[in-house]
Amino acid sequence: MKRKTAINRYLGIVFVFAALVGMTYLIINFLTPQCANSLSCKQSLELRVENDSVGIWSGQKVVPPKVDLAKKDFKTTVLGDTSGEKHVYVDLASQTLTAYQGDTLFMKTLISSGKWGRTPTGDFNVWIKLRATRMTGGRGSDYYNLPNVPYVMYFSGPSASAAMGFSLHGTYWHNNFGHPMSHGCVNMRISDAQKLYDWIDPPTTSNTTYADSNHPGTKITIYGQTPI
Amino acid sequence: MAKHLFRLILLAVIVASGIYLIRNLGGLKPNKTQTPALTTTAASSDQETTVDSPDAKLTLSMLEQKSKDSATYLFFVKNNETGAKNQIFSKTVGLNETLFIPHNTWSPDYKYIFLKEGSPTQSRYFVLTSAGSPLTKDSQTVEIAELFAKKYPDYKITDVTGWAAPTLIILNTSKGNGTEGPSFWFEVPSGAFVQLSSHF
Repeated sequence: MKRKTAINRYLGIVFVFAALVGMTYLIINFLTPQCANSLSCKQSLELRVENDSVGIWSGQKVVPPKVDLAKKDFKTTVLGDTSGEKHVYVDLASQTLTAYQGDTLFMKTLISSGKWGRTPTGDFNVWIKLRATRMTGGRGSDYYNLPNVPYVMYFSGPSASAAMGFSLHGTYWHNNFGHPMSHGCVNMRISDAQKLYDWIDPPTTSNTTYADSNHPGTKITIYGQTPI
Repeated sequence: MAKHLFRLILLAVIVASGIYLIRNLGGLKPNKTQTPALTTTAASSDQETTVDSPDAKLTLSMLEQKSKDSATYLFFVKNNETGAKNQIFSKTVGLNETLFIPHNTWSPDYKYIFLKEGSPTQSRYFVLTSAGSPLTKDSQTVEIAELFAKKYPDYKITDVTGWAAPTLIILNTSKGNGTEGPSFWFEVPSGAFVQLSSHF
């Protein structure tokens, strides 16, 4: 009898331990966003311009836009009366991005959020802006390798750390906005991304612009359920 | 002992569910009500409809000219850097048919565009080159719905949403019983359809 009780106790401990391990694995792998670009990951967090490169997307070669770093006319869009906090909203259900300064609408446009990877939801702030970088990830038929991704605005917050590399950015490899298409980032038309990049804080001072305590990054709120 | 074990597992499930709900429902929807126009504008009689290429360097415009019993649609591509504007296509239809420029009309490499023609009974989708040159040796355009119906009679195209890649157009379909069917790619150069495992 004593032996049976001891065996039951050990089995119970093993079972609880296995359940906790399983739950931890579930949280890490499925409930927490992974790196937005699974292969380039942290390397995508640096400025990279490769004007003679060709990208790969959906098994096709794609030609990236050329980036001219010699251009030093860093633009900062000022919306008339500059009072009012800037705020960007991304509605995953309608695949729409709206940007406000105070109560004044600056932009409303269609985007493409995560299809093969989840776009994180919650409140974030822009922490760095890059004029261009390379993003790689996926595998098999889903593999992608994209140089000169333009106008990249990385954001971070409680549900996605800076190291995970989630961003708003221009997109030259597909044109299916209004529908999920990415591996977690928020894809935008190039002209829309450029317009947002020139307006969003921190104000652009170089091809790599960090937010800091004097120039904090604009708040981004991502919400809603991505259409299946 | 079994009772304690059950309570512990129940607690673990509740905590995991709570974490999942918090991470997935995200922040509260903001209370903003302004709804300005997006990049495309709706076509109406005597109005020009325009859609910029994603980099805004080119603009596709459509001019509708209505007569007593028909409507003629003229399509132009303008280079916004040089100002050069060329007519690339025109089509005359009956008054119960309408042509549209979809929001995602431009292929990512700007070589192709696709247009939608709607009537009370069906929708048709035309692909053509943005330069107006022939797409095939016999024709300037390719009509996707007719080609698809011949190849896949059990499915019907419900929507053509945009471009998955420079030469791949995305089609969503329904089955004969009206339920959701698979998505396909239409590969423009070859005219081939590729059935997809995921829905776009």
